[in-house]
Amino acid sequence: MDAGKDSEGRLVIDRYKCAYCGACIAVCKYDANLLIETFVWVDEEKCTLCKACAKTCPMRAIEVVEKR
Amino acid sequence: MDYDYDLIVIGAGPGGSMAAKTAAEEGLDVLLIEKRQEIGAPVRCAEGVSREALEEFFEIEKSWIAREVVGAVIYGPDGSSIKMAARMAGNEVGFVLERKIFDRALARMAAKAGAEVVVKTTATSMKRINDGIEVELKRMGESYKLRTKLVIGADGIESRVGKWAGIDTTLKIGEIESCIQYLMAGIDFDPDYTHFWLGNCYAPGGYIWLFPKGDGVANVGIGVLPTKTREGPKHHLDAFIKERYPDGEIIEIVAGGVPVSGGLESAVADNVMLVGDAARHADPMTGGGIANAIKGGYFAGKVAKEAVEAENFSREFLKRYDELWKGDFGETLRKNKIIQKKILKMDDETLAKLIRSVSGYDLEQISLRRLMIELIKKNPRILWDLRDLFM
Repeated sequence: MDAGKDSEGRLVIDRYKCAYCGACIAVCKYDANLLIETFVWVDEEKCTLCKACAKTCPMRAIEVVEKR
Repeated sequence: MDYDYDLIVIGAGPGGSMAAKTAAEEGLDVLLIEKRQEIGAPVRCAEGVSREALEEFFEIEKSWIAREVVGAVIYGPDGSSIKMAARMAGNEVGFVLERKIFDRALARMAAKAGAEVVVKTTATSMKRINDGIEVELKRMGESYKLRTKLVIGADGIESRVGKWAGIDTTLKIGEIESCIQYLMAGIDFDPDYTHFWLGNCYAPGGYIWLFPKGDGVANVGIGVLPTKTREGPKHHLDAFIKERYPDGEIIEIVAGGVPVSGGLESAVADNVMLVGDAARHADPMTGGGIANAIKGGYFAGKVAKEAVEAENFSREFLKRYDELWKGDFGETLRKNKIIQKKILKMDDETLAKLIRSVSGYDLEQISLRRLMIELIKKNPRILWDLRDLFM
């Protein structure tokens, strides 16, 4: 992982908000996420933090938080 | 090569179950898999479908239908409205389904036709081997591989099957409606109609709907285009409900994305066909997807039979499926994509003007096509570029 991305942060999904609808999967051109029945899994290696998923999420459950 | 099945259908929504049912009736060995532990839940749908779309394929059972309506009322941003008879209003008006019951009934039909059905089973990968395909499955902790001649991907908005087969199904954020819906109780509305509110003031890049499900009970939902608003759909729907139905109770929340790209250029690859939302077959203007998913499932099931008979599972052969869906609803997808783009460019004032211009018409007698022609005649400057679609 490159240092630039590392300092930007990572994708966090609020499990209390997520309705596991799969909309975030449909807009990910990097194939960086998966819906495993009711669980959205994010591949941090593939994720570029483009936020397409966060903008699409009907429940507003996806956020980019700063990495500590 | 030995095959476990002729066909594995991935996803047991209406499209997948219809494909499995059709292929099994044709005598194929079919496996229908569903990743959820329950078929039909959670619902990701406003549940509207026309009587014709169901009658074409099924003996309709009462238990599938929550409510039948006689038409649709469309409200513009300034409050003016038009009323249309159901049979004239298109694919999504007529019945409000109980998807939890309907989806299970369809899966049962597939089973009755001879398809094997398994739930809580996920396809995790897929690869071509010789002329066939090997699907890797996970079922309650157990991993196993099955060989099949064909795969039908009916795996919804989050489809993986297309990508595994090399079909680019990724939607841009301007090609997906971000939707949220409440099942509301204790609200007041005319239960004989479905209701639609258009305008950026309500739903930027989409609309708000109310589909009656019973006495004082309705699906009240919204779709917005992520490129048109920074807020999510919930923000806009809550504002609408606070104003109109402040005393209603929310007894269920439904969320989902609706593909409005207008369909894939081709929904096939070697050994693979895609149906329903996986093929992006929802209507880009209305967002309705059930009717096309059922038709697509039927066509894919028929083509599966032909392919097995011809022992030809190539992309070239499966293009028969592309021809069938394009010949049926492909043209409507194309036209409605053009209309959707046109509406997206309109401001609320223009939209209100259009609706006002036809609000006096007797829409019991007028079809959607006729209505579009009238709209173009009355508003030539705004709609001139649409004339070739209808006139």
